[in-house]
Amino acid sequence: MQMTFYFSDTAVLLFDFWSVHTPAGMALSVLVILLLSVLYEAVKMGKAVLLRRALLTLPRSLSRESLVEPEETDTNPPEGRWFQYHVAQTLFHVVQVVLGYMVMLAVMSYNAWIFLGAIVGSTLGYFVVYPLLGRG
Amino acid sequence: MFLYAEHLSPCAVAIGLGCLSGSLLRAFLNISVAKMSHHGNGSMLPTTHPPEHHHSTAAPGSGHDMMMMAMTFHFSYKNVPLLFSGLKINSPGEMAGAFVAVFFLAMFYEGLKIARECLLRKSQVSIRYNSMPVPGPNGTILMETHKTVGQQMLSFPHLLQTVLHVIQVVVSYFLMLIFMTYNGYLCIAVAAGAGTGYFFFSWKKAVVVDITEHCH
Repeated sequence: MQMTFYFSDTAVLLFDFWSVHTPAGMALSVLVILLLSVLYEAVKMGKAVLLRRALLTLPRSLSRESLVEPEETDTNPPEGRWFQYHVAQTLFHVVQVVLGYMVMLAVMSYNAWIFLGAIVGSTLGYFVVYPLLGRG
Repeated sequence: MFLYAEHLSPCAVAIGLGCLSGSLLRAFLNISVAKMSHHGNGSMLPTTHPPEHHHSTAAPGSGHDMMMMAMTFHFSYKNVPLLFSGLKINSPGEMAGAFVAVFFLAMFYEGLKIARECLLRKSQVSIRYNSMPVPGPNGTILMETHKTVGQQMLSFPHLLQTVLHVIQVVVSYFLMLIFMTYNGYLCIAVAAGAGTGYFFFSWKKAVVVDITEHCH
């Protein structure tokens, strides 16, 4: 078992069937890991956006309902919408945990290309997705 | 004040549940270790006798019994090492027990994360309340909380936070190492535990944020 970083075209990543032997295959694998890493950042940010939206449903239900008549006819009450957001957040969280561990295990192959792919993916993901948080 | 008390109690529930799952895990570990030692007295130090070790754990299908680390995902319940040398999974029943224990450990981790956040927010809120001069009949409470503001680093909340942080780091490393066994069942247990814990504890987060924003 490799315990230090090395540059190589061969690696076995995560599953039996994902064994890489050729430079093209390695490039593809690095791309996949990069996308996984980007997706991880996106899911993280998506969770934050969902949390904010879930919070936005709460105060409105407290303040507006008591003062003003509901002007728009909503299909489901705010409580239900909050629960939907909560379930979505939970799903996002599970995806985030699994993706995080997957990327960690891929990096643990000690293949330097894979490692660089994960780092670049994380950087790109954070750079691209973070401004979207402000827009909500 | 009523709101405040209401927001405190689920925190305690989260911590309580965490303690419960922690003690459950500890109980499981004890049982398992006891079983191990009961299984064979000589096998308590198997590393010194490699041939004997080889003989005792000739599991069909799991291949070599050296501490060969699997490097890809697999589903097996034979000869799966779990964190400690005394903890080795060899039967479906033990795997089921380990699944439950890991599930609760992951849930405990999520609960601990939320509880820490919630405690931190609570202490921050109390500090902010203290800085506000509120002339009221209950002056004794105000004085009492003023004292905690003065000592920042040696205060009880900060100490508690530090201890909880250490526990969180240890548990998160344990979960990482468990995932690193590449055992499919244990990985599913970690993911499912994280999801369940988040589902049951994180509604707290929403309510706490709402209250603090509501108050100011």
